[in-house]
Amino acid sequence: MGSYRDSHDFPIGVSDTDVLRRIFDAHEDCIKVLDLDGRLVRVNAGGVTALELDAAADILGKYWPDLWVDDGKLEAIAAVRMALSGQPARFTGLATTGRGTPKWWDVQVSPMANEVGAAAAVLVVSRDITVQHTLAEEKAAQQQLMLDELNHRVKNTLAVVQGIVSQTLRTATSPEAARNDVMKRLTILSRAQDMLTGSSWTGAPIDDVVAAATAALSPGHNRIRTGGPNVTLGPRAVLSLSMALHELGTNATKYGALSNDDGSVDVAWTVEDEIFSLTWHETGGPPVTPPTRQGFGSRLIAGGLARGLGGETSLTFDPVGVVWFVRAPLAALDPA
Amino acid sequence: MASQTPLRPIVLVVEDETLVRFDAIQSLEDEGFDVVDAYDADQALLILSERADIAAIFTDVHMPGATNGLQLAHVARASHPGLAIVVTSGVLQVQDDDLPQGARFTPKPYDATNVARLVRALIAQAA
Repeated sequence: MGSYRDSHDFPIGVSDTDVLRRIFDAHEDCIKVLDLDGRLVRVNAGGVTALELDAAADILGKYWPDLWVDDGKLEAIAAVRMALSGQPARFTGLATTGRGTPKWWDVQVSPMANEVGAAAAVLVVSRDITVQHTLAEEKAAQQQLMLDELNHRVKNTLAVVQGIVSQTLRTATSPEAARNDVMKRLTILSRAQDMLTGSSWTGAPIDDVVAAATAALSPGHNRIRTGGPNVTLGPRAVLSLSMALHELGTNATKYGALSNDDGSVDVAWTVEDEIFSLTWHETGGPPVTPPTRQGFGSRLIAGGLARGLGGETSLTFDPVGVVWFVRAPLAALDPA
Repeated sequence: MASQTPLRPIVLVVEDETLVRFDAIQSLEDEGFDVVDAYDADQALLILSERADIAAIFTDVHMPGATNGLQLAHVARASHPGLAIVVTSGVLQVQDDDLPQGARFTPKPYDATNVARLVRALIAQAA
């Protein structure tokens, strides 16, 4: 490669101009020189590649701002004007390549003066930032999507809370009972939300829903027996089944099979021909008498849950024990 | 028409969130309506096509499925010109221009008593 005269000097036989020309051509940024009218007079090899041209001649002589799209064109005109007045300028804009590929560019425009300090040309260095720009846009879009989703979810939760409070107040026997019931029901709602958060709100296994509802009753060993196949419930079904099981459990603890020392509850579910069925079956409690008035709980478990799911519920006050039965198409429990 | 309006007009409630639908159903029943309900627009349209006794529809906007509550309102208006239509949403602030003719919007959360009053007024107008 030749010897060096000095460690700070260029190798013998290579001039400054050669080096600068090499840099100009080898640089992958798009480097251009404009005349005082803003027309292209030089473009480097990197620019020809970046702009997907066949040859520099494709764009030489063209008015540079015309290469830009929309606001980029105005930015380019302003930048040239700045450079001609002796000031550097910088902007980000969208320009289409010779083959029609839209690309985002970070553009630095600077004045080139002659020996007496007058503007002689404009130097433009453009860097292709399409990848970064696209990533940033995708990230912003994702964040907006998450915010929209969050807003929707919060609004939805507020609507559910309002529904619970409204129904509790409409059917409450006293302000104390209303206060107590609202607190309990919101706790159930909160617990159901926790279950759903664990799965990014896609749903929860019915085992978890039933286990959470029965654990909260803590009636003692083996008084609640549960069993059934693995079924994933959608968010709505998780909320409403959690609420229904809570109401059934509360009633059982107050008046039913869990109100004495001997009664028990069987919670069993099946899936047959895409139909989900669940039975809550109390035995061994005191003789059952149907309630004289309909509160939130009995309204919910008597019909509110299955209505609209294309399903059915029945609540039977059999003297031997309360039986609740719900049946719905599996698809309705896990809507996409 | 007025003489044929039953004492308890029938409202079709369309809402995908079970507990919210439950509240709407119970509240409207308490307010003197009979209620049929659907959890999405397809189910609602099926009910509308099968039953001639629906006097009003009360629908949420955001629901699963291909059709949202606003689109449902327009389809229902076209097929049932005399239907009272009330649209609700907790997310969208629906403008009158977005609604079919004669339909009304009420934001969530709503007071069921006001919804009942609105539905009753629209039914009276249509009669």
